[in-house]
Amino acid sequence: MSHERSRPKDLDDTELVRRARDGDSEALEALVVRHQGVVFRFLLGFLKDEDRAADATQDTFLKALDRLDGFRGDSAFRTWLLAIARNEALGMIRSQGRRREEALTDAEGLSDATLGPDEVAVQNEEVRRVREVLGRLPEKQRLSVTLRLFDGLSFREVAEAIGSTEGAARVNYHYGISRMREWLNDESR
Amino acid sequence: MTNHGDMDQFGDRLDCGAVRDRIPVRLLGLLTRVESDEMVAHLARCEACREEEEFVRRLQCAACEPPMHLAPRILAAARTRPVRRRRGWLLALPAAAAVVLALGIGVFWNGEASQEFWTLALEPEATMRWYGNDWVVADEPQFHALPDEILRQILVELGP
Repeated sequence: MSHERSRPKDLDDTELVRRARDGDSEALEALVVRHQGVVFRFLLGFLKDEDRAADATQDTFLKALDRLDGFRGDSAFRTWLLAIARNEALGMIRSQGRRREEALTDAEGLSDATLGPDEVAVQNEEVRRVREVLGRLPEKQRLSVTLRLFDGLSFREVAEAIGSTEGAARVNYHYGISRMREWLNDESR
Repeated sequence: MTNHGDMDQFGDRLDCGAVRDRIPVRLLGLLTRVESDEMVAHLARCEACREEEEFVRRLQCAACEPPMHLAPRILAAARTRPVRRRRGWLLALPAAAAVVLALGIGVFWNGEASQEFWTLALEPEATMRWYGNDWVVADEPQFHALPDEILRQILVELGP
């Protein structure tokens, strides 16, 4: 054999998209596995409910797959995917009306799936606290922190994802971190 | 173990603002070796930034991972989804219809947004107009992103 086919997980997004368009299921799977985390966390930042975020993540990927031909490569695939995710989130929020007002209490629900045996209770309590204060942030600060902190997006990518400017994304990130530090320090006293 | 003598060759080229911007990215392992070494040189000298790094590390431990079943669920749904006919925003609307659409979006945006409203107003397989590709993401118009100039153009074409 003169050519060895690269493993999908070793390929960049551009090549994976090309192969997925041609019906390569392994390429499709690689794209989903590679980007499901950032999409899920981004949607969780909007929706503040893991089940809804999971549903919206699925819808985001399905919509992206249906319209893969329309991805022109002008932006990174991840950026394009997050734009779709944002639309999904906004659509879910609009269709479910004022449930967003429950967001502050919903933030506590983020930790339920992570409760474990007693020997990890302390660690889980820390996770619960961090997620709770993250949930308290205003939306753009929360999303900026989520994308930069957990997925290392550039401030430019963050700005594109949340519909803001690069400078505002940077400011929102640092304000968000600062407020989280204040709240966590206050709770420690 | 880091040789502090080696780190000195970088000096401390970064200010605290630049370092704090990059801390989460460095902890995720996304910086180049040179960028990371520059950060280390600064962190060796700056207690405040070291504290920031420790705090960010603490926060990163709380990253919420998607459920384990999510990827398989997405892929299963992808395999079984019906083939969609693209509604498309490739359209040639009469000017009046385009204005009705643009204004209608404002009416419906904060209420029960109806996908059917959009599709009824459109003729697929037509020529793209006004919006171009910039305001369409994955076949969904970004009406909230339409600039005023485009909306004004629509109104001008409608006439007095």
